[in-house]
Amino acid sequence: MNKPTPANPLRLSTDYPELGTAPLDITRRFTSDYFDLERTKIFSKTWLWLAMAYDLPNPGDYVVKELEHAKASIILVRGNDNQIRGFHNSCSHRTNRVAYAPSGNAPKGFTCRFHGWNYGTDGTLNFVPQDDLFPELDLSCNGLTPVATDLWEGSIFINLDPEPEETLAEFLGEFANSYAGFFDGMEQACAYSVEVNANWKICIDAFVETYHFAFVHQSTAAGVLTSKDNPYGRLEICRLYDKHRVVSARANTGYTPTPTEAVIASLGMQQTLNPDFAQAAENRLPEGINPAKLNDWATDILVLFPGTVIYPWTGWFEIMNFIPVSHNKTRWEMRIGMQPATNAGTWLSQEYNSTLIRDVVRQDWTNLEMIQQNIESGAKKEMHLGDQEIMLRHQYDVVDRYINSK
Amino acid sequence: MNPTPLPQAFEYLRPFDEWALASVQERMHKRIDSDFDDLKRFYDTFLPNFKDAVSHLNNFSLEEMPDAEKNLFRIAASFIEAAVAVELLGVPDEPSAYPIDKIDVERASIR
Ligand code: FES
Ligand SMILES: [Fe+2]
Repeated sequence: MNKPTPANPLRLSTDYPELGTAPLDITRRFTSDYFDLERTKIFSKTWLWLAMAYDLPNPGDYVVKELEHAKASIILVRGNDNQIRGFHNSCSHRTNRVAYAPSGNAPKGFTCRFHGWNYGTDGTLNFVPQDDLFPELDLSCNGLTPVATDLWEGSIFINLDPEPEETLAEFLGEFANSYAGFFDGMEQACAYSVEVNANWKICIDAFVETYHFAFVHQSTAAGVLTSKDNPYGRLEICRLYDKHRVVSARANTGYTPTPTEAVIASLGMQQTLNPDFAQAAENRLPEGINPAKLNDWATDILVLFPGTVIYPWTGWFEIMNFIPVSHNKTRWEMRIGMQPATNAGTWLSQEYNSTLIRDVVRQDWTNLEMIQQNIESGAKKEMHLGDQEIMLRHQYDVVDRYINSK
Repeated sequence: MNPTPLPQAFEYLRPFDEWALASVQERMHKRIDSDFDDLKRFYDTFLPNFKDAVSHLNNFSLEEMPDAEKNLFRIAASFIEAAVAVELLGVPDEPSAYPIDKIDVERASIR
């Protein structure tokens, strides 16, 4: 048998020489001035992941999302006609908010608590108390201000641009069709959120490479992604699209489950970081997932520009959303979606996975606040990005492109 | 005081009935506030029978679980916390981990 050729250590960037290998200038990218450009040129122009359609299962269900970067409060609501729409949470009378809870069910729509104007679940202005006081008011053109809202594979996106330059499908581009059905039938197992004192790009950077795994996650998740022939858990393939990008991570096929993981696996209720390869082989994943069709595939890291990261695992997923609050503060939300728990066993499998992932990401956050502080200190002028960090390099490249656009 | 009811076959978990906690917030705080030796004792006692406990619970619907089974279910959920600490971390919580109080968790409770 031939000895396998040692894998090319520069395998991710070989196909993308245009990105170069130079250190990244960190003196200008994390300032509040730069953030002002990002707010207007990126976050007010691109499609932003906001929620899952399963957050709004019934007519009248709504969620309110705060987007501090645009000072916007956005209502996503499933109308009584079953359609999901987005609106600015602002009354047409004197602009007060009309929805006050982070989520709820409002089949009768939203009533402003200032003077009682009422809006239907489709945004229509339905009722103005003492409307004879407003002789010129036309109810039919004073509904809630709509926000461009569209769906992709069970995810709800909005675009704050009143006239988006492209549709969501155009924005997602070439891989958009290749995830068909992956999220179907899954439900929320768990959600986490935290506000971290670090720039949004610094935060994303920590979740799109596995170079840090053997160090940061040595006690937790390193074992499932590192192995004898891949001791540092190197990512295998990378595809850079126009603005988005994906890499694939290999699993440790020789991983020895912990006693608890073994019980979970033996009861056939496994939805964990440690893939069930038999199940994975059986499970026909959509074309776009595991694009290189690796046999020992664990997960992909799919970054949807600007701030959403999706990890499709075999039969379950994580979605991380990074919402910039200011140049040095980010709100991070993570959704773990899984097959519905049908009994205590599957519920406990969800519990195991959610608990483990919580403690894995808690290992990440501590570093990020230190990094932010050091960047602000100006101690370093640049950072070095290796081949395994090509996802970061591409992200900064795309950000630059938007900032430099007219 | 009424003792927490447990299914007869799982009476051996009686010393750990304070782990019968409905919400993930309660369970994670209890883990973090516990001595490692106590976590280990809980873990060592439950592990050999954890599979039996789960198989037993699988006979009941999640929606209508009798009180005794519900308590066993809650203790099993706490066992998951203990297992992560004992099998992986080797401490109740890593000192370098991001403070748990800063993280919001949404997860259905065992009611
Ligand atoms: S501001 Fe809403 S009714 Fe007056
Ligand atoms: Fe990490």
